[in-house]
Amino acid sequence: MPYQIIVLIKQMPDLELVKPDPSTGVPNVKSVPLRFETLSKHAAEAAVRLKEKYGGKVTGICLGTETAGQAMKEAFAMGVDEGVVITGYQGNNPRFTAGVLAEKIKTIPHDVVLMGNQSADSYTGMLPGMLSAMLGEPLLGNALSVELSDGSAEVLRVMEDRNEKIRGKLPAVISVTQEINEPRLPPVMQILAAGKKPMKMEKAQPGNSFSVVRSNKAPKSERKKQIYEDPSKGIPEVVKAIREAIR
Amino acid sequence: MAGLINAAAVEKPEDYRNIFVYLENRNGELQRPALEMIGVGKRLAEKVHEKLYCVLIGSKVSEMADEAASYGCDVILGAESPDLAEFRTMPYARLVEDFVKREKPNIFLIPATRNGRDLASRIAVSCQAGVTADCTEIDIEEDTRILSANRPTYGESMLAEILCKKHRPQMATARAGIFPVPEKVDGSKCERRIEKVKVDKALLKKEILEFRKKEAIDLTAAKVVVSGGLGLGAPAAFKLVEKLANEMNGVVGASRPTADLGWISRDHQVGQTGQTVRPRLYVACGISGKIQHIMGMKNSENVLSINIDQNAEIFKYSDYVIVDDVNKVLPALTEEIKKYKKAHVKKTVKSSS
Ligand SMILES: Cc1cc2nc3c(=O)[nH]c(=O)nc-3n(C[C@H](O)[C@H](O)[C@H](O)COP(=O)(O)OP(=O)(O)OC[C@H]3O[C@@H](n4cnc5c(N)ncnc54)[C@H](O)[C@@H]3O)c2cc1C
Repeated sequence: MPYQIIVLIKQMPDLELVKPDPSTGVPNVKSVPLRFETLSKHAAEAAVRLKEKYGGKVTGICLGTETAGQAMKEAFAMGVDEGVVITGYQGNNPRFTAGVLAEKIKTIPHDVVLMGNQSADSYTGMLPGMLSAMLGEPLLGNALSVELSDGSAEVLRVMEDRNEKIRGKLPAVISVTQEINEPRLPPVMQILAAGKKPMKMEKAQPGNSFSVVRSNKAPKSERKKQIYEDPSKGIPEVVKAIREAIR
Repeated sequence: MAGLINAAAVEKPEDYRNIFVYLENRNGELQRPALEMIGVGKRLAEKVHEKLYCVLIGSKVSEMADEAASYGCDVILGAESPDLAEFRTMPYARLVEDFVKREKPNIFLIPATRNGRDLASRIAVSCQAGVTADCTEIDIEEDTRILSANRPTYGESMLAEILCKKHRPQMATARAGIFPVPEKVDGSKCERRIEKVKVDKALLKKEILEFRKKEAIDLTAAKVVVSGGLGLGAPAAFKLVEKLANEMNGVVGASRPTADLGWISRDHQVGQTGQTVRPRLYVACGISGKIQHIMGMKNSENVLSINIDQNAEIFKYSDYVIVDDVNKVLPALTEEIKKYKKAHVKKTVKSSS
């Protein structure tokens, strides 16, 4: 049975390039290029695999910036069929993001909404639950595997101290863990074809924020940073230094 | 839905009082993150002279209430049913929502565990509250009673302080493993309001078909954690890590790729997608210090790292650094500690005789 699958795509800054501004201590996030966020890439892979297994269509939705089309095209190359890019991302603000996405998702008939369980750059882990609450669809969270059948989804989910197999009725929200799969490297032909897939561009209504960021600075580091390049001297000194800690 | 995005601010924030914490439990046992929340909640409540309320949902709530009370809290709001032994999203969320709407807390803290996140995100939606996720520092302003919630962003390179001025309750999820478990207090009294509830089966949207306990090792309570990374070079080198850990009564941790490669099981992983630890001593062996790993060990009291690269990123987060091959340093360090312990034991024997 074919399934209508939605996958949520996110952009993130290249974390290796995020540095505090030397004079203000504020991160230079705005000037760092954005790429396809890791966990949503795993979600896209999971979505495409479900389509390949059961048939159906995968629609990507991205709330992002002006450059989000790039991430969407990468998702197309992986096998996502069509996409909606909504500009007006307000940074790490899960309530706003969830509100905009839920509104969009409601307009698209679907069986499954796939997403990462926590993004690699802001890792709030709030979005899956918020969307589930706003859509009134069950959340099958932290999936390590997903199977669909007879209007329901069976998910093996990873908790702190156990793995659970759970089942929920469709439509459902499914968040995936990083371990669910290894995202494919799309072949050149697919990358070329990606440019031709349908992509809608929309704008989000700006919303109020529930909270304000008072400061955002590099944390103080208070490490001693004693370096021993000669281990034969270093080891006894280190043992002396750590003796309290290992008592 | 637009109303949800632009939710109205509460009219009288002063009507919202007291500190709520959610006590994570499973099968009638409080989990460590629950105790961490009591510790944080108590500190905030004392600072603004308000009460600490513990929200406790599950089976065997009375027994767990005894334990919670022994750490010191003012009120326990409980809901008890055998059907609630396991976390079930909808009934748990409904019950907590009821407590929040009835009692109007100023602040509500929930551990950022997998179930805690599920719960917090729903309460934020149903109670129109702001939630600051995955905080590593939590405080309250004495005069305004505004929560100062600090969360790392952009892979720990930044710490954002986030305030929620207009909406109530002010919610935060707290990264598990970061906050200390408080001391027990003698003879603490607390008021218990525990209700027996019936779970409406229609609320159960998911079935749990089966579960398998993992041979999970809990790194969060360890005083010493010795972790191995790709710099070990081969799976067998984890034996050296283990020997050092044993010598210091510690546990073995790992970087993510070593678990990916199957050098060690996933439950040893430290970091953003593994466990968060704050031992007295963290030893990083052949670990480069990528932010996702740092997230899980940054709050350790002392950090010793061993790395062959004298420019390794991990050195920024270390108190002591030994620059050399781990395969050489680990046995030598283990020997040195053995020697030190022996000498130390002898000395104490002498001085007491
Ligand atoms: C979304 C996301 C989540 C992640 N979550 C986690 C997580 O939870 N935990 C985690 O650890 N990682 C996580 N990662 C991966 C992380 O980015 C790094 O890839 C990983 O931490 C690197 O592991 P490592 O330090 O063992 O390996 P490497 O980065 O390869 O470092 C090996 C180090 O060993 C040193 N070395 C080499 N040979 C020797 C020798 N003979 N003696 C001494 N030193 C030597 C090298 O100088 C180097 O510093 C995550 C990544 C992403 C994208």
